[in-house]
Amino acid sequence: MSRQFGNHIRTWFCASIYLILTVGCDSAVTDAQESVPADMGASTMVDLMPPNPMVDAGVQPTDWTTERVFRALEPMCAQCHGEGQALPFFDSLAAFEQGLVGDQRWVVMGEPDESTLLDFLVGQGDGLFAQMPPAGPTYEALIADDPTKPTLADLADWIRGLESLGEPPVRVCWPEPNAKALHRLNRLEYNHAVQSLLITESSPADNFPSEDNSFGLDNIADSLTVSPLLIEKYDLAAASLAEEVLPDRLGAPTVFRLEGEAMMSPVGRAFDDYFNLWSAGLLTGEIEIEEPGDYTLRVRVGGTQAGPEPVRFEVLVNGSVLGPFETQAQAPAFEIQDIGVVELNTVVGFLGIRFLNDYYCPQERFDDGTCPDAGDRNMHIDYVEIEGPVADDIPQTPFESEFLDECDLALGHASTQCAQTALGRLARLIWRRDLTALERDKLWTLVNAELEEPGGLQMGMRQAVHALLLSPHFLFRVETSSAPGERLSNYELAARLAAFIWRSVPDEALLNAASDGRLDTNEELAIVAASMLDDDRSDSMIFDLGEQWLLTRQAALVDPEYDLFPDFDEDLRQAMLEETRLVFNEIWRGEHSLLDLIDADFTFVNERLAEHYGLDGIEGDQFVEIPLPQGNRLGLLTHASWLAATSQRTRTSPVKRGKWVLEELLCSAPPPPPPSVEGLIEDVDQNAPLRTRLEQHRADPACAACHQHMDAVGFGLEQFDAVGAFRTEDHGVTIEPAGVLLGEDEFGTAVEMAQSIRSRPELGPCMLNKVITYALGRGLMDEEVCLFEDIERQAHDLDYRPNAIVDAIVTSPLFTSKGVSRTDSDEEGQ
Amino acid sequence: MGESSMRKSERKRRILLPRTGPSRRSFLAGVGATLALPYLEFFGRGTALAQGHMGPKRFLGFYVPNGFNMAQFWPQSTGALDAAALQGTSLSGLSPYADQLLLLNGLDNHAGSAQGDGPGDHARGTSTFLTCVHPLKHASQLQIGPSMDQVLARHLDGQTRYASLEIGCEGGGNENACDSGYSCAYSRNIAWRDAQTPLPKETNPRLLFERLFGGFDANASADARSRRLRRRTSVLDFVLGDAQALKQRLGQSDKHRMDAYMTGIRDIEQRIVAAANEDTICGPSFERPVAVPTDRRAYAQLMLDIMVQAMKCDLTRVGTFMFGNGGSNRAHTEIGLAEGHHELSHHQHDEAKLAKIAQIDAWEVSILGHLLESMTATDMGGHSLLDETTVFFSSEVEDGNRHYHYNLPIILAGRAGGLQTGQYVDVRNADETNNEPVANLFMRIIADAGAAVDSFGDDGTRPFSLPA
Repeated sequence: MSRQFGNHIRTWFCASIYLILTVGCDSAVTDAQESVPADMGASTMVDLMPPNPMVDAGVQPTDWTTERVFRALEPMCAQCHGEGQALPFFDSLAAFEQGLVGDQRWVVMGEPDESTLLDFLVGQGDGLFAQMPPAGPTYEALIADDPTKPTLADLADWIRGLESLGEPPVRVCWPEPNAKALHRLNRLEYNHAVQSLLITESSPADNFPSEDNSFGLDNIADSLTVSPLLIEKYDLAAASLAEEVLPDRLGAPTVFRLEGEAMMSPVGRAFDDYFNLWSAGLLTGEIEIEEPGDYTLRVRVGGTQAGPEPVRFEVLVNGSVLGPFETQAQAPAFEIQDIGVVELNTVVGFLGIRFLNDYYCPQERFDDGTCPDAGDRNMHIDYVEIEGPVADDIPQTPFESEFLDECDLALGHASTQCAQTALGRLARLIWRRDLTALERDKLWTLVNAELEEPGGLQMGMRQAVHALLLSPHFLFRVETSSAPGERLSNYELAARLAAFIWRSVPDEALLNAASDGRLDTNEELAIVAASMLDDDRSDSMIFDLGEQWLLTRQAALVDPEYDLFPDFDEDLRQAMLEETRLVFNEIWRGEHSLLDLIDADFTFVNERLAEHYGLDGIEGDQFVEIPLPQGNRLGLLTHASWLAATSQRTRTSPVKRGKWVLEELLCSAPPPPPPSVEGLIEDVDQNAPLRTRLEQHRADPACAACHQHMDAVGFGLEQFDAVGAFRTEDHGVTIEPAGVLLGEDEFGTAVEMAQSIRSRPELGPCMLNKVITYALGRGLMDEEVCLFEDIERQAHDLDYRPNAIVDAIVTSPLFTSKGVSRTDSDEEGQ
Repeated sequence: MGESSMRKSERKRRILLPRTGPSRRSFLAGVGATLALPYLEFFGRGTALAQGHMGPKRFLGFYVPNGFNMAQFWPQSTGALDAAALQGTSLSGLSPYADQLLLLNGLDNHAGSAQGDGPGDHARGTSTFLTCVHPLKHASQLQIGPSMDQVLARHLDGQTRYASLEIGCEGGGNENACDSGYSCAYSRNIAWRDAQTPLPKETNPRLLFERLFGGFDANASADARSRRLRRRTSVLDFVLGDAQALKQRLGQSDKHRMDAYMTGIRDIEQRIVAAANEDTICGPSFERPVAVPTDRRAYAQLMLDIMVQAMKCDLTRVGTFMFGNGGSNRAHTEIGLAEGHHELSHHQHDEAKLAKIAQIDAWEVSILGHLLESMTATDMGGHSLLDETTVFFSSEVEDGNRHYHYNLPIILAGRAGGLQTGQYVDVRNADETNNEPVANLFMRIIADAGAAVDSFGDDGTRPFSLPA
């Protein structure tokens, strides 16, 4: 099974640039230990080894084959070199043969003196973990009483006897990206999408269940699962949005219909279901309404057409004259004509229709030329109808202005053509692609089904918007246009770009760029991406990435214990958050390297924060830029927001801080502690300074290997308390921040440590990997390392400038190609 | 404007803008008129009672994070349980319900142990809490089993408006990393519809309330209802068609995701059809909550009260409640504790910390006590809601300091199952290891609800019985 990239950055460094063995902690803690109290200090590794069957059988291994070596060492080493670890030599015999025995960095076949494996076993290896197993007794001491383990001499003999395994193992490197799960919009994307598409300020996704984060990010495709609750919320949100943008203007819509045959006229005659005005005259009737207001008026009329012009008529409402209108409908057909919105001030209304152009030309008069056309023009009236009251105090929504400005949906049938066009445009935007003819027809069916009802067109459009928003084509970024490994369609690329750079969906201009072929090549794609990054909408990405990555989202929620940190208040919190946001924004928007985040020679403070930092001369709530270092501060790791987010409520957490730096900035996090040893060591004076308590880590070999590096970073930041204020003492003892970064770079202060971190070669690739994970919405697999390296090279050459990083990412096959599914069970559908 | 149109517009505003709090009046317009209606007409309960049954079987899973201080958890001795036996323990708040309790000491959830996967016991223990399946350790991919509540929910599918309800007091999104290399999904969900589908919980009492009781209009005419039903189903059919067509073009795992989508849509469809056919509407006995209480106990009790109302109205028969997420580090300042719960739970045998943990335990148990109180007080027609429910209360580990997944402290309450309540039973093996799996207990609960299965989880092989 392929492994996630994770710690791989570091491994990748080991393999390709810096030959340092970095990941260790080879304490042979087994599961058996879970059932004994966590008394790590007293146990030796030998004690913990399971009984070896060979001892029971009385067998003395003399001939050390590779498999036997593997079996003998595995219990001591697999804890840190097992499956899922950065150097998983003991995951399987094959992994051992290929990863360790087959790699000349550790074993040179036939040449024990050249094989560094033996150096590590005696504590003379290179790099951070010079001794394997680390920190405690040496290998020789560990196996002294165990005849089932190979001695150093045995191992030398074994290496001497090794013959080439043939070709050196080839690094597996996929040319195409790995497949990504069907990517659902997360809450932020959903809100941005509906805000931009429907031109609304609603954020319905705030009520959706929260995402299950992975890699510290909330936009990871795998983890954006689908539950019934979520679908229920989608349905609710779609319905609310549709109603909001297409509001009900009919109040309690009521239809009052006056049947023609029930109306009165001095001329003409009532038939079963219509009135025939056979000469010019006025047909009138009276209606009673429940409340005065604006009503939509329509008539269903026709006539026997004759003569040079169609039937013409006027409509009278309480004495006012509307029209003239005309109808082409030829009896027995009728047509519905929407007359418009009329104001009815009284509960009793008088409605009338005046037939204007009677025409009669009998055959004999036509024959003698006195009239132009033989025939009898009469007007037929089926009914007059009013509907309302129209709640015209509800103004046109921005959505209606944008999409339906040309259409008066209240007119019903008369506006269907117009509505259909508007819906086509809207559907393309919401689904981020052109609809097929079949899809368009299906969608229109929803509208059509409402047309006979009062206010039907508005309701129908609302139904359509509801359906478009609830459809999987909106909720998921569907990528089915291309074969695996091939370039995505332009529409799909546009959706990826918008998701990454705007944290939203494409707007119409971007969709047009896609359909016009302006994303066909990587050059064009890069131009579009650059302009998207220049657009203000990319603020969302900078804000969102910064908030998650740099822990401002956690800082917004910290709740320091009041008795210990009485100065902490909401103003200070907001100032802390703002500093980090402004700095991250400046890193992206100014001429900086992304890595400057760690040692930026500037920051932003207002009076409140400056006070907190012990800096004078800043006044007011406005943030101003100040140069660094000063006040013992330099870069992100001295921001109060980050320092508070990596603390407990009552105290700092050097381990948390150190782990974050190693993991998130240097991709060098040691494996997490074995089960049952989390938390502070017991039997330590609870009132001692934290450093004293944590020094215990170093005394305990099982902990020391990993903790020395984490704790060194954490102690380097101990002069900043749990709300990020500077201090020189903890529990009355002077804090000594000096330490060594990753066992190599000595530093005396937090400022120097930041500078050391900035100069570490792991920093760039590690930070880059985070941005890639965020951009793709998935973690890379080990086998995608070559694709990663291509981006890394480009970013590195341009000093990790954010725009160069974005450019390199969006033009990488990781971004532009459809992924290939490598598992048997995940073949493409038929 | 007339009285009736005023009500209508207010109701509409509520649907339109879910974030603005409608007035109390608008809620009453929707359901207030029916508050006093009896529940007996629902879903044929009357028939069931006439045949001498106790009513349908219900299940409620109650999860609390970080284990317990075991030294103060159990009564001194096993056997019959009364109020006196619970005095001096963390369970003393349950004294009034001693005869409704079965305290079980000595079941294991092996699926939660490392099995070579290293650290991450909180994520593992939480994800296996009701699944008993060892989870795939992965930062983003999910692979575990369906949870026992969902086995029950499937069995009861279609009989109630909601197959199950998932609620809790901690959402998510504020933790950068969840637990040692596991996706956050594992520590935030205990209900799993299937191996890849966690069921997130509703954590907002107002939204939960509106979801259950706010959706229908008792005053709407039959005509308006049927028009609404047609509109709703036509949209749902439209998107189902979309999903069906799309599914054909997806790979296997994406097909699965599309199935989950379609299941969700069909659930809605079933619900609105059922709602349209209901003649009576059962309402809650209290008002729509307008905010999330800041006091965590009040918050939890409110969420549980709504759950009880949902069961009273037979809107669901299966529920789960998470007091916190797996390994939650919330500081329970309302009971005077400054340290985070997880931080405290690594007590290192420090007496002061142990005392604080016991304080949290008793506090959590008192919330269970509140639940039992309201379930006891809810009359289902001659018997209480608790009488027809099995409540399962436990945590992801035994003792937070050691992360044991053995000898899990389990409190069962209610008389829906066949297990004799009113006692404290210790079923540990002599060596306290390789005890009977908790999966067997789940098989028993499932079987007692009439849905017997042949196996459950990684290690469930037979329904649990109490020792003779």
